[in-house]
Amino acid sequence: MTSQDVTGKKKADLKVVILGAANVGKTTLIHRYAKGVFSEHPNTLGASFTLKQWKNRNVAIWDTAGEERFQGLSNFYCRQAGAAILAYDVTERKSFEELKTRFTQLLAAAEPNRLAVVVGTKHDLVEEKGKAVEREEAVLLAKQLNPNISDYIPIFETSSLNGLGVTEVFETIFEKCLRFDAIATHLVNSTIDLSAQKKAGSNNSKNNCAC
Amino acid sequence: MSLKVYDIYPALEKLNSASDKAKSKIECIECSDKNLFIGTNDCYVIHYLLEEVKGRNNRLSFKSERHEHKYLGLKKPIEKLNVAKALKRLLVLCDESLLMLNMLPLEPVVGMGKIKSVVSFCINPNPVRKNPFSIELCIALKKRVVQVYTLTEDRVFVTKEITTQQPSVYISMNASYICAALQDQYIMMNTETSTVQDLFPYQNERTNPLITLIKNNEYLINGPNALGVFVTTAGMSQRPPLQWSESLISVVCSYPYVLALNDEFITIHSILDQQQKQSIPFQGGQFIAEFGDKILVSTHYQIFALVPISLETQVQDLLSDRRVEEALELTSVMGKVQLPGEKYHKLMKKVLLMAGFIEFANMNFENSTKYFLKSKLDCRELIILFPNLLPSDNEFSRSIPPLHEIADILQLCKGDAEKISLYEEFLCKILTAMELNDSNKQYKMESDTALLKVYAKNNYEELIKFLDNSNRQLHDECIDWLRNRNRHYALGLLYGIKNNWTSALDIWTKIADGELEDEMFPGIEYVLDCLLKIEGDELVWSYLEWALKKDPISAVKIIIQRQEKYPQSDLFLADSIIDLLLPYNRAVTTYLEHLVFKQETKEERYHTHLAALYLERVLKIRGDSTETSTYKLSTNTELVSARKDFQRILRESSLFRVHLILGKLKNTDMYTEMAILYGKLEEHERALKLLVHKQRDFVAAEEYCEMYAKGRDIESRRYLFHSLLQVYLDAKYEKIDNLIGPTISLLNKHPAEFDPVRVLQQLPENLSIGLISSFLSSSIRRHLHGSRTSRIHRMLARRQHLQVKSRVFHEQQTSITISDNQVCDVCNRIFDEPTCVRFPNGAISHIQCSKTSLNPFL
Repeated sequence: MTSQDVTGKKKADLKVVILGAANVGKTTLIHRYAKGVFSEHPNTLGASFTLKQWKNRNVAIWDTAGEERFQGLSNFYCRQAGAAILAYDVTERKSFEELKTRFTQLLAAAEPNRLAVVVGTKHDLVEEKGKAVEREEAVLLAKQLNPNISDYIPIFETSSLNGLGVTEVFETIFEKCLRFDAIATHLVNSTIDLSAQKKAGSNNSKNNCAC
Repeated sequence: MSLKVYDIYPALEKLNSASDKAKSKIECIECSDKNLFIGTNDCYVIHYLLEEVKGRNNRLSFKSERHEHKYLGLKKPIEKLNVAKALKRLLVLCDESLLMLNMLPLEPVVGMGKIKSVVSFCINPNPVRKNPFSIELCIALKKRVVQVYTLTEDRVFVTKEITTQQPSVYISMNASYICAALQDQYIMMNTETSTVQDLFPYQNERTNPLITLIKNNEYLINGPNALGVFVTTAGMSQRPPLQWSESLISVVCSYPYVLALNDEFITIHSILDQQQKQSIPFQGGQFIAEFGDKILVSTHYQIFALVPISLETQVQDLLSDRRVEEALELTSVMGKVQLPGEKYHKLMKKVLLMAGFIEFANMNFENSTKYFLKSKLDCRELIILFPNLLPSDNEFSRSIPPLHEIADILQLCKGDAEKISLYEEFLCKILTAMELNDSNKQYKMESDTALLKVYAKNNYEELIKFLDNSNRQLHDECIDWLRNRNRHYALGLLYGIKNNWTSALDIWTKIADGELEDEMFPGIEYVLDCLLKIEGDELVWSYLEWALKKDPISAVKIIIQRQEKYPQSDLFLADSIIDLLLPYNRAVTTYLEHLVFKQETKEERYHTHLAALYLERVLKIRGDSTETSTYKLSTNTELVSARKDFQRILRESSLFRVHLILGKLKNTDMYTEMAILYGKLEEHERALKLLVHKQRDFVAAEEYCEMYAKGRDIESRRYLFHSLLQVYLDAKYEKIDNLIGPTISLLNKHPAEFDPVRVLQQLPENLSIGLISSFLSSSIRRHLHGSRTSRIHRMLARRQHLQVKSRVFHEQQTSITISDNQVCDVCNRIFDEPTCVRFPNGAISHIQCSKTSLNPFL
């Protein structure tokens, strides 16, 4: 029994959703990041959910099912996502094509200025099976999906087996999506501080006047 | 994780057909308080009263009583029944018509028509406009319209209408939101803003559209692929979906559980963790509905009640399966949700305790410790498992209902000694841990006693450490326990903790005397140390003699230190102590040394006594020694140090009776000492003679002079040094030549102390002048210096004399006049004769006045 309810009740500061064809290793990727170990998982039914703390902020990571029959639900679970991970298998051409045909359109349900990170999985299998998707193609896709981003390209090639690039994927997302947030709240806070001081000051002057 | 969350009981064994012709089948059910309404396939509404009956042993059963029935005459099955409690009405959906019946008796409401073309309807449980005498009704029509009605006693009217893309097949309304299943899509409608939000598609032919309200703003929807999808009114999901089985018929939510019915099973999920908790095989399920805190589920002919198993029972079940972790987790997750704070904590404590005992029985000590400490276990609960560890007069009895099934440790270990000792070790550890975090305060005596007993049995070293803490609270039973196990030393410690020092000392002295045996006994020093520390002078006094016998010096130290510590104590008077110490020479010496040197007592008898003791010792050593040669004796370190001590008192003390000591010394060759004594009597010549002629220690003789000369005037000094010179040059004792060396050195070293004229007269004629040249030249120098200084003195005196003379002369030059009017400055009367006194300040008075004490000028 996990206590997801307790944490689930908290309003998450960021919703991250992972999309991609069946068997590209979406659940494994999340599990690798959250638990730090490699594990194999049966097909995800519908969706599952992991809550992660990042510098006092709550991040809800939604894992979706890759099978086509869950397409409608995946769309639903994408709602209000601040970031999406579009995962494909670097050794499976079909998974990359499916990403373009089936999954990129799901991004419409997410936040308008969402971050879309293209992630190639199973990089450890390249030697054995050969690379089916060149990095350049993924870079191109990442650029297309994030027309507003110019200073970096959100694309990663990862391996959940040996941990290659896994942390970077999530850290980049949190860094990009939450840091700006953090600055904003900080600014708000400092404004409040100043006005509070002012208030105190005016109170004092009032007291002085009374005598 | 499988768990028993609900128990199933028959509630209505058999539905009695309303009509005799055909057998009615249950189509739908609805409850309100004890009223159970059944809608049948042949268009009957049947009213039952359903009651819970608690039989013996708290066994639950249900009693159903059929009341009345109403035939609606539509020949179609009744699809849905809803009670509108505020209006005491029953809403019936049958043949696409929504009818209204009065609940009691079941009669159609007069003047209320039916609403036609209704596909689905529901009552809004939380209407936005709250009028207690109206209800809000939401209806999906066959057309692509969803309508919201307000229903009062006598009126029904539409308040809102929303058009949808397709006709709705199932709706659920709460507050201002309507969640609806269209033919292939779920949607969320906001009646305030009339906005419609698509949720997700589903396949009508595969999925039975079902919508269940979970909380105010959250629904659970039967989604595609048998997923129970949570949807908030904002059109989002905040929980992962439930995994249901295919072909669900009916779903009901009883927080935090969701019960779903299909034709073979009732499956129960927890909303909190989305896991399936229980699955009850149930053939032919038809409908599932809430009934208070219970759930009713019907087949075509029967109704069963699902009764929630209390959290306590669930946890108990887990614990009896030894599923400790799960029980704890269930308690912490569900307890917080279901139970009020205090009850939760009580349950949690109980579960922790039981978990602790389960792990305890499994020898899983780490977990057991964790649970016990967390539960703040009453330590007696644990101690009582160990035979004889609780004091026999302790009235503690195990808590009821029992927390465990352990009779005692012996039974648990089946007598395996190794296991038992492991358990005992655990007991010690946990009791110590409890002591550290203070959770055992109330039962400190029981805890400490148990610890003592176990340590006494198994670990003597730990026992000693344990007893080294005067805050222990120990039962008197411990005394016998320790005695029976020959832990004598520990027993003494125990007496000490109980402040029974008499017994403690009694035991320890017995161990020290070898009457009792104890390997851990640290030795006599320990007892002596105690004698120093404990209070109660009489007690200490009574053991002093014992201590003196064992170690006189330490015993004396005890006396001294106690005296310093308790200066008022009148038991330790010097005289009585000395009397006590008398048999122990060294001890009495030490004590007297303390009195004389440290305390600087003024009592003559202590000084004399000490001096006599020193002397006695010196004489004893000399007497014991077979050596007669002086040289050999002088290398006898013991003797040397004894004499040093003796000399020390002779020199430093001036209070002892000199003649007494001197008399004792008369017949010995202890010339140094005798010299000191003569010195004390100011009989310097005799002293010096002894030193020079008997002792032949010229250095000592010179030092003697130096010592007595210190701080004296020149005459006394000269007397001393001349006495020594006289002794050196005295031909009565030996030839002068033998002493020429020291004589010369004396003269040359201290020329200032001699009168050279007398020296020259005394020195033998034939002495070479060269030997004393240093003495002579320095004498001459000093004399010359003296003569010159005298001259200067003389001249200075002369000058002073002249000055005085001059002043006298000047004074005599001035005159004073005494007239008739002149008044005496002292008595203020006139002078009647010319004689007067003049004061240095010029005042004049009668002669007699100058002598009176009144004279202000004197």
